[in-house]
Amino acid sequence: MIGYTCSYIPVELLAATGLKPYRLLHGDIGLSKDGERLLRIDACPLVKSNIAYIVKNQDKFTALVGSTGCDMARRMFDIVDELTDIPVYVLNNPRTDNPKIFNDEIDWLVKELEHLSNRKLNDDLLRLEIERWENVREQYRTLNKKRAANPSLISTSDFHKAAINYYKGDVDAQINITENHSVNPRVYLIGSAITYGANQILELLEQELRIVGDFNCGISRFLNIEIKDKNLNGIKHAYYNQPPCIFKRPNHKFYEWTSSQLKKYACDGIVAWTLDYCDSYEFELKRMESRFGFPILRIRSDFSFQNLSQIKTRISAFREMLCSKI
Amino acid sequence: MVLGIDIGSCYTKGVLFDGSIKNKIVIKTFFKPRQAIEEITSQLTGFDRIAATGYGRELVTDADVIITEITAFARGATYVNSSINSIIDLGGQDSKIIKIRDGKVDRFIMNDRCAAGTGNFVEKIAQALGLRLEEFGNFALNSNKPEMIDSLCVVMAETEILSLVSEGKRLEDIVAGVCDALVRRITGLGAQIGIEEPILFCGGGALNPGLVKSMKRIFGDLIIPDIPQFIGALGAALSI
Repeated sequence: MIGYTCSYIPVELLAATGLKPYRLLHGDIGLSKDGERLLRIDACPLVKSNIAYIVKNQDKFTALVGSTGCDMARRMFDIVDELTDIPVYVLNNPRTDNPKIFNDEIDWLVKELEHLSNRKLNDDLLRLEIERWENVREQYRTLNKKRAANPSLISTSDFHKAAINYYKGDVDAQINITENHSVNPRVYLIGSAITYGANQILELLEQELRIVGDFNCGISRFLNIEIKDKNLNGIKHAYYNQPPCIFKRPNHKFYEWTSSQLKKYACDGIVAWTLDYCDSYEFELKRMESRFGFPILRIRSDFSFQNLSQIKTRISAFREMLCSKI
Repeated sequence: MVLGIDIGSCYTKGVLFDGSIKNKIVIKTFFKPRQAIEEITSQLTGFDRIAATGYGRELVTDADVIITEITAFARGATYVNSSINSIIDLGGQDSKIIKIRDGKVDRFIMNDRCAAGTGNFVEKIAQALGLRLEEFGNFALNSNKPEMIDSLCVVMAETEILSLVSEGKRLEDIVAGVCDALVRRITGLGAQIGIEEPILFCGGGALNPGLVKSMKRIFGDLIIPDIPQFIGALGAALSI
């Protein structure tokens, strides 16, 4: 397997090495506590979980690819580099709008991956991988239309469970999602990563609300990658021009894109999910409230869900509030 | 006649409502919410419908309506004063700030992960100082120079208070400092949703004169209803 951590890292390039791309999206309280032996307690729970998973499963990984996304995720690779013998490659994803840096970094990554795999990532190989992954994305896009339909026909919780196959590199897995209509208030989910172990929060939310769209480091993020030209330039263009991550500066494009999604999906409100110590989103919440002009429910957690009954109360109150406005 | 029942973590409140409040009762929950519900329903009689709210609301199995505290407080508070724009509820387990627009909940925020900013904070500190809760608030009224207490954590605040006691600081000033610390926490929460006057202050915290004094010092004029502890139960009753 080749582990990776960021939506800006092209899975097609990783898969072209012959290795299985495996998104490091671990997040549960057990792993997070294990991670506290390696990082300080108030580190991001996602990073703590991922680092614990990597260290426990280091024999499974041939290499790891990270990016200079949020600061803690970047630093995680410094620690992994010291703790394990796994080769680590960190892509410099520019914070500013600078496609040249990104393109140069992708060229650098290609060379490193060729060296790692002893395989030339030529046009034929890339076309094959692009078609394979684009085909899967297209299947999920079709499902996403059902999720976004009004009334919504499939739940985000079920979508998330299915999409885990994509993130774990099981591209040939059958995608089966049972329809489950809902007329609950329609909400858009924004915030920290929804991890493999975080379905509990989606299920809890969807007892009272229906998540019809989302923007975070998981769930449906990959749907926005649409590679038109089936070559390396096509990969660069699609990955660079995806709806921008919140850490980009200036990040007005994130706000423009999300605003358009809120309208497109006829949302009634926003759920802002943040992990404890996730600065990328915590610092933006106030701005989100004023920019989007939608009611926002804030939920903060560390995956332990110790405050489950309080979270339930907030979700119910948010539903009551939305229903009184609809 | 409707029985509105608010099952809080510390107290369970019941209100009999039929166009106006006919009767009301408050009892300690004591971590036995089912028992508290039984006691309320046996003492407040003559109702034909029940509306429940509070953290134990789901335990009222024969409730006709169940609503969250946020909606209940908004209904109860706007019933007692329709001019309000914000509500601050200081309960035992949490504190809530609700912004009202056109008589409905516009935004809300809850402090429910930390004892600081809740009635629990006051109770714990009162215990540590060997004061009864009723004494605590009155002590604060006799302070002219509240001590600064910075700790947000109730355990650390206890340590900080111990230091102040050993330095020979006046108990009145320490107690007033505790009230101020709690109110500062609420101010921070309020700022997150842009609290607006007129503000109604309710919940058990509004019965504590020391807290009321601190609240007024920071928030200016506050509307304190005659029955601050019963706003949630009243709001539940009004939902039928």
